[in-house]
Amino acid sequence: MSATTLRFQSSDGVVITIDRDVAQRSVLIKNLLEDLGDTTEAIPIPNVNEAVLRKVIEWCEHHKGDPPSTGDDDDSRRKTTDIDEWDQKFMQVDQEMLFEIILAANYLDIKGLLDVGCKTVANMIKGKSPEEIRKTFNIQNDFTPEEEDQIRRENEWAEE
Amino acid sequence: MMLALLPGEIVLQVVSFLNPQDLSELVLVSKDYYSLFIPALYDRVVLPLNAYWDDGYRLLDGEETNPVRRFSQAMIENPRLAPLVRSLILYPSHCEEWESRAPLPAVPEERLRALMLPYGDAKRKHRRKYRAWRRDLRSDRERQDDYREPKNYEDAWLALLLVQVRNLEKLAIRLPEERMRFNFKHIPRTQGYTTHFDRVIHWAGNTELGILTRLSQVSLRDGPVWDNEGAIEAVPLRRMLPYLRIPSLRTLYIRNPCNSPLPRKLLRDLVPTPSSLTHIDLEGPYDALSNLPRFLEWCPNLESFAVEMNQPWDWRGWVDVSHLYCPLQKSRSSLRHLHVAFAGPGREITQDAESPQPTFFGDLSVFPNLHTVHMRWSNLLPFHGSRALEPAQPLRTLLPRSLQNLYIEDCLMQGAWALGDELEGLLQYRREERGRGVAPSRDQKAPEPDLAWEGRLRGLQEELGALGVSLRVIERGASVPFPPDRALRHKWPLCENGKYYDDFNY
Repeated sequence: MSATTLRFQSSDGVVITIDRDVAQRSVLIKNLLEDLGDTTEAIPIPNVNEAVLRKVIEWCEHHKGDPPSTGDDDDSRRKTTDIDEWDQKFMQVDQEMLFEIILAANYLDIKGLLDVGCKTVANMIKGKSPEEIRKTFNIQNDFTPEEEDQIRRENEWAEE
Repeated sequence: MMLALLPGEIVLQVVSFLNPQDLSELVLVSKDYYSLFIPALYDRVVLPLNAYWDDGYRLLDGEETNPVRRFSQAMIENPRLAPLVRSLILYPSHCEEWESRAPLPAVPEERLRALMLPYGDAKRKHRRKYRAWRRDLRSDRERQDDYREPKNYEDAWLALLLVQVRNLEKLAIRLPEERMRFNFKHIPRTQGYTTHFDRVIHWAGNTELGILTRLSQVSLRDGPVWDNEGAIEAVPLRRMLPYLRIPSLRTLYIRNPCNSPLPRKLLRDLVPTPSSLTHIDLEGPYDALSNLPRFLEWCPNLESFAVEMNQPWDWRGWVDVSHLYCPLQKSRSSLRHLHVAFAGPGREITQDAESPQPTFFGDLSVFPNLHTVHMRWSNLLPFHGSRALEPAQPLRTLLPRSLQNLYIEDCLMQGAWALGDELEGLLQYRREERGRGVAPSRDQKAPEPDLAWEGRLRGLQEELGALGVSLRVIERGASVPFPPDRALRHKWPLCENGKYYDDFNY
């Protein structure tokens, strides 16, 4: 009989107990459990610290009833960046946390969360001027005005 | 800073949510961002075309504001960009928002010569073609001559673009009319309307020239129609012959293909070598495509062949499927998907067992790897008499053992009993087969269900179900899911004002 809860150890050494079916939103963990069989020991998650791991678990708990993603994207580029309300609220974190969550979702292979994270980043870019994007991500402009003009001319086809 | 620090595969995923306009702003953020995102921006380029013959799309002809000219010229100025383009999509547009763009500097003559003379200038015929091409690159303002032939201005610049995008894999274009369709005193009817574009496609057949050597997928469609003139016969199969010579080409999708005659002297160079095409998809042929069998003879490596008749009228005739059997046997061992059926408006018109006449496609059991078959009931079997009611040969003897999906279309209620017999025959003899779908359509004139038939169908469903075979009745007009490797249709981009520009809904 398999245990209903599992224990995980974050990179900073904190052990967290999670329901098995919540943890299995992560494909990495699901595969790991298939290999390990039953375990009562804490499973180390070396790339994710406690704060991020708790965030990720929060997301998985909220989405544990979701149907599994179909996984077949067609290559049509008109993908929507709509995010449901709960996820939007969930993603209202500082930038560092947002990127940590994305990296953790990628590492743990949680497609839904990775998707929401990438959409959130995409929405930080969409409809903004280069100057606004620089402000958002705190980036220094290293183009000369002439270089900027040149690039604008080359890419004029992309302006709608 | 952090965006640039994310692993490449995550950046790509973020990029998949951005449109070209977002990306064009993003590359201006910093030099790091430029090198990170410029490949994504140029991966898939969508450009408007403007010069369709006599259809109201000539606003920018001969103007320096023509989008294709401007893009092509930008590629010459910065040669690092063109190799990034892997997918190019060209769609018709009035290009109004391009009219106010500033003029461009002249292109250095040496750069042009290098691109436009891949064979070098040693031979006179190459120099002559170069001169004609060079002349057509000039805008009205730059031209001094009183040149009376139609101006292939946009065509000339499009050709100049195609010789530059050497890593192009996918090309989708709504083609203008191939040749002059109207009689003018001073213009010969053989005058091509896409002379320069066609020449580049021709060059792509010779890999040594390094032109379009990676092109693997081409989607073609006729250009827009204006007052029933314009590009009605823009994609005749014969015009596709140069594509068959491109060694890298695998997939060819043509919407609204047709037949059209051509002077013999122009046919001379066109006969292709056996093509490497693996997928052909013809959607909505305008007529009976009487040269389709010839065309298929040149394609001996097909894995998938589809012709879907979906035109809303029948005055130009349907494709006679029995003529396709012989040439398709050239692809005997490779063919996996076969789809010869009616769709959309093509199914709305009067169609019964006699019309179009039941023509037996042929014995499918000779294709050892055939996987999916989608066909009308009346084409699937030979019948006694002209009506598709009395099969002359059992279905089970006509199907290959490799078959996994069978879609039967347009079986009348009168023929349902015979269908039941054939399915029972299959049940008895082919118990090891899996995953069949069967879709008999209902006769619209007899809406009340036939209880005996319904009962028999249920019985069949249960018995087949016990063998792991699914038998489903798919409602008329419902779309049938196909294996993913047949999904090669091109979704044409939005046109004017963001509306989908369909053939006759303008």
